[in-house]
Formats: sequence, C-alpha cells, structure tokens
Amino acid sequence: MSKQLLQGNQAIALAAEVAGMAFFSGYPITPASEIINDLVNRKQIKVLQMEDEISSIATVIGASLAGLKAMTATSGPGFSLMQENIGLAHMMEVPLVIVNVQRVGPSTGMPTLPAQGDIIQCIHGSHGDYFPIVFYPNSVAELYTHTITAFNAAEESLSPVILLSDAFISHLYETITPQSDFPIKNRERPPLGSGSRHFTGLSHDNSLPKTSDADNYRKLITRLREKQLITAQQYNYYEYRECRNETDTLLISYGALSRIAYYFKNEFSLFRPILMFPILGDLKRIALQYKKIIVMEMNTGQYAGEIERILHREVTLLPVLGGRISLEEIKNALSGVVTK
Amino acid sequence: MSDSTIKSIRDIPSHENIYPGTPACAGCGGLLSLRHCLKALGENIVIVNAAGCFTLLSVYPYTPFRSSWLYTAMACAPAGAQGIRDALDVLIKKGKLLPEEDLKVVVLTGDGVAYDIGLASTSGALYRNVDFYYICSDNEAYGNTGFQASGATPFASKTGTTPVGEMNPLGELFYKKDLFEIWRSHKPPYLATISPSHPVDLINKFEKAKHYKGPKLFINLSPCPPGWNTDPSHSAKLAKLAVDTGIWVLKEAVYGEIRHTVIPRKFKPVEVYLKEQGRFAHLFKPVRQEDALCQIQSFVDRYWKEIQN
Repeated sequence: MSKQLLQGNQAIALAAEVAGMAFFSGYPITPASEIINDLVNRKQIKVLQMEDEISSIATVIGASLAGLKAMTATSGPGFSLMQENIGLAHMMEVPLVIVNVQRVGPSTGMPTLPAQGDIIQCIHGSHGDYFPIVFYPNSVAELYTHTITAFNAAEESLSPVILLSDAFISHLYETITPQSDFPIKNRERPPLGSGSRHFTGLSHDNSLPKTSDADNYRKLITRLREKQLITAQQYNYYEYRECRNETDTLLISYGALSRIAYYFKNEFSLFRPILMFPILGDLKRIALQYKKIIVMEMNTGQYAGEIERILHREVTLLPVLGGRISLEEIKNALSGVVTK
Repeated sequence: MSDSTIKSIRDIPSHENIYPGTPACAGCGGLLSLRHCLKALGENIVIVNAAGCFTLLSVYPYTPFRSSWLYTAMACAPAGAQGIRDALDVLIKKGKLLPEEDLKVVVLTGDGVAYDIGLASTSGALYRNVDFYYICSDNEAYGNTGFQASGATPFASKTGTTPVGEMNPLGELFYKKDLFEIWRSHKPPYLATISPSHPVDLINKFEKAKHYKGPKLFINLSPCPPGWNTDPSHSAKLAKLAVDTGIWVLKEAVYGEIRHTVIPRKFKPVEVYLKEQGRFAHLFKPVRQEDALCQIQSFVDRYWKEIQN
C-alpha cells in the first residue's frame, strides 16, 4: 500500500480490515466515533450500530462464536458498560478485540481530551479473576500495526484483547505506509454450529458446567492464566532507549504521554510498554540497572502501582492530569522529582 | 380543565425560564421547543439530563436555566428522576419541605437516550408510575457525536453510520421506532408529541399534563441544521412542513386514549419536506429514487388512513 495521511482512528479501522475483521458492532462515543464512521464505508465488513455498549459487545461475542473475527470500539463510559460481558468472554474463551480510546474521567469527564485512566479497569473492570492481554501504541503507525497484533493475540489466546488508545493519538493525523503482509492468525477452534457446542458463563470443564467443583475451578483459572502468558510472550512489544549519558533513572511512560518522554532521552533511559498487560520479565531485568524509576502517566498512579507490585520496589509517580500535556510543566515536575 | 387553555401565541407567557445565549447550534429545533416547554413548566423544576446535545447547554455557571440540573449516566435518566421524586416526597412527608416548595422533576434527553440506550429505564419508570415529565428532543440521530443513526432515524436518511453510496443508495434502511406507541403500551396518564412550529399546541399540552400525576411524556421533532443539512433560519418552517405533510403527527394520549390535536386540512406531499434537507438529497439527485419516495409517502398515507377508519 502507498503512503497515506491517516487519523489514528482511521488507522485502526483500516488495520482491522487487513486483520480479517468481518464484524463490527458499536455505539457512538467521543473520541472513538470515527472508527465506526470509517468502517461503515468498508464493503467487506458487517457493521452494526447498537442501542448501547452492552449490546455492542454482546453482538461481538455472538459473531465471534459464530466464526467471524469481531471488534468493538468505545471510550471510558462505554468500556465500563461492557465489563460484565468482558468477564463472560473470558470465561467462554471468546476471541475479540475491544478498542478503548481513553478520555478524561470519571463519568463524562473531559470527553475530547486524552487520559490514561482506564489502565486498572482493563485488568480488574469485571468481577472475578481474569487475565487480559492489553496493548497501547503511541502513534498512528503503531495503532495500525497493533490493531493487527491485537487480532492475532485474540485468535491465538481465544480471549478478548484490549487495544488502548487515547483522544490524543486517536485524533492525531500522521503519514504512514500501511503494510498488508503481516502474518495473520486464524482461529483453529470450529465455530458454533459445527456439532453440539455449549458456551457457558458458569465455571465449566469443556462444555460441562461445574458450579460447585473447586478443583475444577482452580484448574480452569490456572489454564486461562497460562494461556494468556504463553500468548503474551509472543507479542512482548516494548521500546527501551538506553540513555547515551550516564543516568541512574529509568523513565516509564506509554501512549500519548510517551511521545513527550523522548524529549528527555539525554537525561534518562526510557522504557515504553506497548504490551501493557501482562507485565513480563524484561521490565524486571531492565529495572535492575536503575536506582530510580519514574512512572509518568495520565492518571493518579494506576500503572505505577502495578509496576511496584511486580518489581517489589518503590517507584516515583509523575501524574499528568486533566488532559493537558505541557512540556514546560513536565520539565518542571521531572526536575522536582529528580532533585528529591 | 380547559380554563388554562390558550388560543394564540399572544397568550404564551412572556416570562422566560431559559436565558438567551446558549451553546446550542443556530436554528436548533430542540431549543425552540424547550423554551416553550419551560415557560409552561415554570421555575420550580429540576432537570435530569443524560448525555446528548442538551448536555452542552448547562455548564455551570454558564447555564441558560433558572432551575437546577442533574446529570445521570446515559442509560438511566428516568431512574435518576425516580430518586429525586421519591426523596422530595419523603422530605414533604417528614415536614422538611413545604408542599408549595415542591419541584417538578423533568427528564430532558435526546432521541439516542429516549429511543435506544435509556429505554429500559424509561419502561421501569412508567411501570412504577413515577410522577415526572419526560421531554425528548428528537433530531432523529446522535447529533452530539457527529450525527450517527439512532432508533429514531427515519427511513432513507443519510447519517454518519448510514452513509449513502454504491453499496447503499438509500442511507438508513430501517423505519423509525414508534416511541409514542412503546410508551402508550404502558398506559401512562399523559403522552404527547410536540413541534416547535406549533407552540400553542405545545403549551396547551403541558397545561393539560399538569392535571395528571404519573409519567408525562413529550416527544419533540427537533430540526437539526448541522445534521439535517438545512438552513438554520428554516427550522420552524421545516417543523411545520413535517406536520403539514403528515410525517410528524401531533397527538396526545390520556391513559392510552389517543387524540390528534392538529390534523392538516390538506396534506402536502412528503417530498416538499424531504427536498429541503441535505440528509435526503440522494433521493432526488443525481437520480430520483421514485421507489423510496413512494415508500415514504405510502407509509404516511397508511397511518392517516388507519386513523380515519
């Protein structure tokens, strides 16, 4: 394909088609609406506009079980409504992709401004234990690439995969050269309808519900977790830039905010996860080389808390709130935490 | 009951309950009617809103309203109204609020909420006979997010999610949900459709509704210049054309009994209404889509024929 000037949300739509998505269902919401607006013009894709986000993800689950690659796209308030069905999709092992273009919350918040407030909701939004794979690109080109990654990871893990974006990168226009020669993973499991199949939200063994068998439940959860780890290891994307100058500090950031982190590449080493969850061993290994870790994020410490938990050490938090990404402010804040 | 009925626009109260200078689009048909609705409802109200164009009206302290305002999640404005109504009742019962200080609880939403995401909550409030008003500003799409189709979008309308092109020369393929009938099946005490082109009819309907305790619902056809792609100065004229062609039916239902409040003496052809709007332009250019136009006309004709029988 030739060079194209694309908006982040358009890149997601284009990539979904390249990945083989045949079904999309969604509900209008700022700042994700451009995805459905774009997809309705693509002939190969069945696009449904539903009456709310609960129905949107429910139809995606149905379409996926029936054999189509399927996706939905939303923002924070819609993502909240989808949570019960996300848990269901994990329990029934349904491959699908959920795009969450984050805006400032909670509630209506600041609908047109970027935030990163849904990080914990990605992994703990539904009740019970489940183990989602989550990606968060930081450019239009990466939104394109990792929409395809998300589909591949979903098909491989047979689970809902979350592609995070934010109002900034989704509304950003950049020139990209969309590749179409990616390896595309297709599902091995036969669709509903081939033989008698039973998908249930109950704890189960194969199709058989086991609602009071603790051993079976433990086995099920262990299997789901292992499956996620095995898949995630194949898509362990991150960006690590070692500082040319001597530094004892690692600056971790992701999504829109990581674009401004490049400005500090001569002062700190930079780490940017693209695979947000599960957090894999590479970060542990890299972190060992640094005395100080700063996590800069557009929330009050959601990813920082997870990193502390994984690394078993304290990190310094630099929250950037309210949708304003100002180099001057971040410079001052960074010099503040460094001199501490 | 007819003591407060008005006969002419000169009888409409001059007192304004919505101040000028709102962030609504020029020529917003919803705002034209809302102004009259609030004149009829008076000052002692609390508005319960769920996400829609009118959410933009009230960004405190830059609010055009004289009344209070509560925002709820998109799916549950009527449930928010129930909470307020019940709390006010409890306070009155305990003597902590004087009955004359009581507030009217008014849900104000667009068609996306009223026809789609909020329907379950509305049905629940109707079932529980909550004493509230519901004003739905129906511009026949999700105006606030870029004019995507909703359950209220009429057949053959172009929207953000029903684009017109090679694949689909018509735009929206489904017919508009009949929200009036959905509500009427719950037998609420009062239910009406209103139009910015008929303010006298509108005021009289609110006056009548005041006499009933329970859900009182109003659906307003709201010409939407940016979404319908029309001249903002034509909104009232368009709303009138919708009534004159029989597309927008002005009626009311008391405990389910329907009465048509405005019946045009001679119906204009639907084309006159459709032709004015960019969202229907593909029905006329580059090729006239006779089938679709006939379908819309016969849909309207059928309704009025059934009424006469």
